[in-house]
Amino acid sequence: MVESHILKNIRQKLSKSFKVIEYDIQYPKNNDIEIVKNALKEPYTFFIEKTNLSSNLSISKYFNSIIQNEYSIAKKEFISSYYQHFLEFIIEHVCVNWYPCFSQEEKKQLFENYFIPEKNVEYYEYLIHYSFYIISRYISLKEHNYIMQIMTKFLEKFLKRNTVNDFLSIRKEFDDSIWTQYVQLVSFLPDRMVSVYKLETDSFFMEKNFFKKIGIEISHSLNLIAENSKDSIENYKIQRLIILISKLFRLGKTDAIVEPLYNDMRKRIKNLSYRKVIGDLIKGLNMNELEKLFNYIMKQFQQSKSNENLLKNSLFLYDLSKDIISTCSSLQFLLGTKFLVRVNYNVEVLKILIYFFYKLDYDKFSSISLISILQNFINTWLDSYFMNNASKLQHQNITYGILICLSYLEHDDFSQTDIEIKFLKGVGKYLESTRYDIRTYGMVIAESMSEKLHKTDKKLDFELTETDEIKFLRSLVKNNLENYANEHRELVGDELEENNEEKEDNEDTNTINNDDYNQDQDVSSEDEDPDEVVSDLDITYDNSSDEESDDDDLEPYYMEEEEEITSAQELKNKIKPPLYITDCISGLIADEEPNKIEISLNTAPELIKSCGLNDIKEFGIRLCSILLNMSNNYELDNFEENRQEALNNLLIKNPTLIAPFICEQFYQKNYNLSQKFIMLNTLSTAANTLSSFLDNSKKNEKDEETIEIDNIIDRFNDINENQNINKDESIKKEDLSPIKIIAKRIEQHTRRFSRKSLIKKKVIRENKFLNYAKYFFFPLIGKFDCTSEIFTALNRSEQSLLLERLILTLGIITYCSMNSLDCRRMCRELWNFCWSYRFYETKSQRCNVRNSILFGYSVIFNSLSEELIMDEFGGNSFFGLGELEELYEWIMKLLEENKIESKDVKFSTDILYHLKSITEKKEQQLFN
Amino acid sequence: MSKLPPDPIYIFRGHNSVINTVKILKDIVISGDINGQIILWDLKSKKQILKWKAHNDAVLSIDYIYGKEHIISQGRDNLLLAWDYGTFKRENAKEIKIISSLVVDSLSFCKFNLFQNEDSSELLLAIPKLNKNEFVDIIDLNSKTVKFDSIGVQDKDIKAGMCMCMKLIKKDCKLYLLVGYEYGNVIMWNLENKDICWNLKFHSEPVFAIDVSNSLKYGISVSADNIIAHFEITENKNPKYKEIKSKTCGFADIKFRYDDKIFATAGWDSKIRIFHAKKLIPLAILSYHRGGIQELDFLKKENENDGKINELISCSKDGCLSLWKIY
Repeated sequence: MVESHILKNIRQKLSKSFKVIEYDIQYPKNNDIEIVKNALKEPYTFFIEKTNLSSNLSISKYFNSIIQNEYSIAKKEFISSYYQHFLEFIIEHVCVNWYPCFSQEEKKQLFENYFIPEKNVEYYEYLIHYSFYIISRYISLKEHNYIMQIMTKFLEKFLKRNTVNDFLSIRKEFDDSIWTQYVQLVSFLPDRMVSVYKLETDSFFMEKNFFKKIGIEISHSLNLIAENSKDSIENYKIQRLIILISKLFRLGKTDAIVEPLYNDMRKRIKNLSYRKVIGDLIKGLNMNELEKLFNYIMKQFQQSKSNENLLKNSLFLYDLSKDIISTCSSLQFLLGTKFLVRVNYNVEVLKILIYFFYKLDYDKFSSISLISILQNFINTWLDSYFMNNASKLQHQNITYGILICLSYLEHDDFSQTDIEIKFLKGVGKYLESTRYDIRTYGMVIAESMSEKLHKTDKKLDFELTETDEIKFLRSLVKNNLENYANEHRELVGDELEENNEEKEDNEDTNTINNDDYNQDQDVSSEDEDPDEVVSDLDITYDNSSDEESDDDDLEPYYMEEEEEITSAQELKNKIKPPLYITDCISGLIADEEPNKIEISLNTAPELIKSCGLNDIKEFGIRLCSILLNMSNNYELDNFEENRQEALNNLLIKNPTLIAPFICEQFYQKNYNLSQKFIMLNTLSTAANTLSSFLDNSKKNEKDEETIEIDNIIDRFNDINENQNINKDESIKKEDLSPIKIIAKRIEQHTRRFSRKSLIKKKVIRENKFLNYAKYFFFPLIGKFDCTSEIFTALNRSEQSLLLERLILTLGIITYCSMNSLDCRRMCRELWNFCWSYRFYETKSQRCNVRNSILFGYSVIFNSLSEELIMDEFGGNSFFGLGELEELYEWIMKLLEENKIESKDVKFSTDILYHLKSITEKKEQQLFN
Repeated sequence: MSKLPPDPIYIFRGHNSVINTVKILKDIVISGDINGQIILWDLKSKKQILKWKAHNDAVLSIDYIYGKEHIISQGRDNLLLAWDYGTFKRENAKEIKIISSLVVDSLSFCKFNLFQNEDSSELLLAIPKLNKNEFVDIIDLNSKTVKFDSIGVQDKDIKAGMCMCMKLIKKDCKLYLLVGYEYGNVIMWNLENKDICWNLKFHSEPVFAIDVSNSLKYGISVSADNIIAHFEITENKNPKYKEIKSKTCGFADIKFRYDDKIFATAGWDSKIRIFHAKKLIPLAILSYHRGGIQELDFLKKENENDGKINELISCSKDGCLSLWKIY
């Protein structure tokens, strides 16, 4: 309580003093520069500069209210709360107004010192953080060029004086946010400078130079940490450096940062404390950053050619990571798997890495033992996907890797591993390979492996001709770095002896581990057989109690791991969905594999939608015919829906190719009625989608069923009705069902405050169908022949059904092509077609051809303008109406004979309405 | 490191179609295919001795009566024929003669089972009842009479379906019958009083084969599912049993070796799996065939001084017989 009271008191005093200072600077009496100078001088002298002036607070003009005891608290308070604000203030008010008037010395003393304090002052590390923040903020202050220039000048000076290590020494207890802020500022500073100064950026702030400097500073601070770590390592500093390094790596500044670090590491890695610091750093890095770091190192290794350099590099890697690799799994993965197997460096790097693992000398059950490394190679080597698809370079890499591994391994190392079996499997595959190089690689591996596995007589020999490459491959097995190291012990020097001692220690522990493992194995093989399931009943079941003695001679043979297939779903999950049209086709025709068919069919609609046009050009016809000919033999879910959607998408994707094909197929004999319906459905749906009459997006939202002809006709009805409402109220009234009337009444009595939601937003879309309509319409209508076999083979009711659907489809296509160039011709064809069937008697309960004919005429009247209809169907005589008259008579006759069903009334009234208005126009013409 | 499993020591090729059944004896191998052909093979020279059309339809099963030197074959033409192999061998004849025939019901694919004692004085044949495949008849082949009639359960009592496989055994001078049914049940009958000793549903699919160890202590059964049931042969209502779950589904046959050390399964995945008969752990997977394996047979030890006998023969849908030596 007392303390906070004191603090409050001090804050008040400080605030007051600074207000006075700020006032004096802003509005000095008589514009006296001396007052300004004095005001600027005092905060620095009392709170920043390390002098004994503190005792003379009483002589201060501004801070005389602060008493001696309060001084230290006041100083802290100034730095944490007032310093930044004061900097901002002087930038804004002194920099422009007074700074140019100061002499050189004054400039430094009264202004610059605030931003770039002397190193010996108290709380230096805080001051620089705050100051750095303010300076960098004002660099991008574009309102005032002069401030910008001054600040840039300061920043350059500031950064030259303060290195990463200075920033780093901020106390451990202090919140990390200040460090994160620093990291942020540093990493984007060059970007900032470039965006401010564009081409005139100072070379100091150029990205390359700047980060190089930061890199040097980082490695310098690591050195310092190592030097000062006699007692304990300042872990928090390393953590902070990790944050900085990670950030810079992520920004792609790896090379600039790692280069000095790498040089430093090479020089100092033998130093124990330095190694520890680097180890901590490596352990702290994430996988990605670690990869970048080691990637740089590997690239350096790539340049070493002579054995001497290889050995030195390998020993360096050994020194660098021997202490940490056993605990750092990401490093194990990087060095053991990624860099060896997946990334292709050159053979030198392989040599270095494999020798490194050989030197590590972990026992064979460890994941970083040399035998495990070989396993990694062999697993990749065996992979049939790798075998068939990998490039020559990748094959080379794996082959080199295996051969170099073999050069270090002895016959005994292979016991208790399945390498021999895998190897035998692989050799067979490689010998069958059709690629010469790969076969050769396989042979060389086979020869070397058999030599190692069988020691002497059973060695394979393919009698390969000794080309340079084969010589080189064989030399990889014969000579290794270990031999070289033994020959040149002076290079390894003291290190080797040291290692030997360690190795002995290791061996002791290894043997113990080994025993443990064996025991474990025994236990598991006896008690925990995975295949065995003991049911509840047989707790006392014991069939091995009798004659136990002589059973142990049955030693299990090697058993391949079998893939367990538990459920159909799992089986299905194992099949990958096709990515290309060809895959999809082969999946669809996999007659015996229902899962494959299902997955292919499920993916087909989307795949067709997303694939390129060239694919459709190449495979579209085939795919279409497969889809049409498929039958749901396995009762797959959503079979019909998917098939229909796939066909629709296919047709939409390339109408000029697919539409004529479908029309042609429609008149082929080998399709049944339902397949023909599918074709018609496809044509009408695609016509609708292309012409944008159907809003597919809306459909999805409502999650309706797939589009069918009936839906489309309903929509057509709706459109017609809407058109008729305005024109003929009387007809409309009859149509209103009771539900609609009630709905209307409710609507009338509902008060709405906003009508927004009721207004449908009309979207204007291009009618893409116009260009394609002819491909849909004419092939379909042109080939129709009611005496052809495809029609007569059906029974009468099926004939009616097909005819009805055909006319409906033609009608829909015509309607969708409204306003196109071909529309008139299409209408003429449709008119003739319908006319010839007007006396057709439907023989089915399920359909009515007359209905579809009326629909067709209704479409014609809605698609063409009245003038065009008059022109086309009105006949040549001056008074008569030609075909229109005949149509009128036919409909009237139907009405008289009561042959029109209730649902046809809509279409006939629509036609009559149009005829009426045409007649009226004609009459007008006549009388005018 | 464990050894690789052995390869077959010989492949018999000669059938032109799926081989349904095989039997190995000391000097010959008998095999029958779905065209009705039976082939006798010399086990030493590995050559065909005789090939003849035994049935008008597929041969379902073959057995050999040691005491009388007769071959019995069951065809899908609903005939069970006995062939005089003894005379054929002694006279070096060119063809083999039928001794007797019996009309049976082979509609259900159920194979017959023959029980014989050492001198063949007791010859019992278990076969599904004519036109009633849920029931089993036991026929005495010596007297040619039906010894036990209509052994089975009504569907309303126990829903078991048709019988799929059978095994006749004589333990402690009592005759027992093990039957595997369509719905996965295995039922053990005491034939003396036609009582059900026990009824257990080991499998979820039809049972395809049952075998009993030579010590008559344990039985094993396989079906179209992935379970191998190992059970105790006892009159006790609740016999102890154990299930081995295999990683693959579908076994056509299972057989114990004469010394009861191992048993082998014939997998639809064209692999023979060898199991330790006591520990019930898998010992080896023998793969050679390219089609599902239909039947297996271990060579029996006929004399004490035969030495080690470890031959195993298998027949497969790929039309080959393969001979193995295992353990």
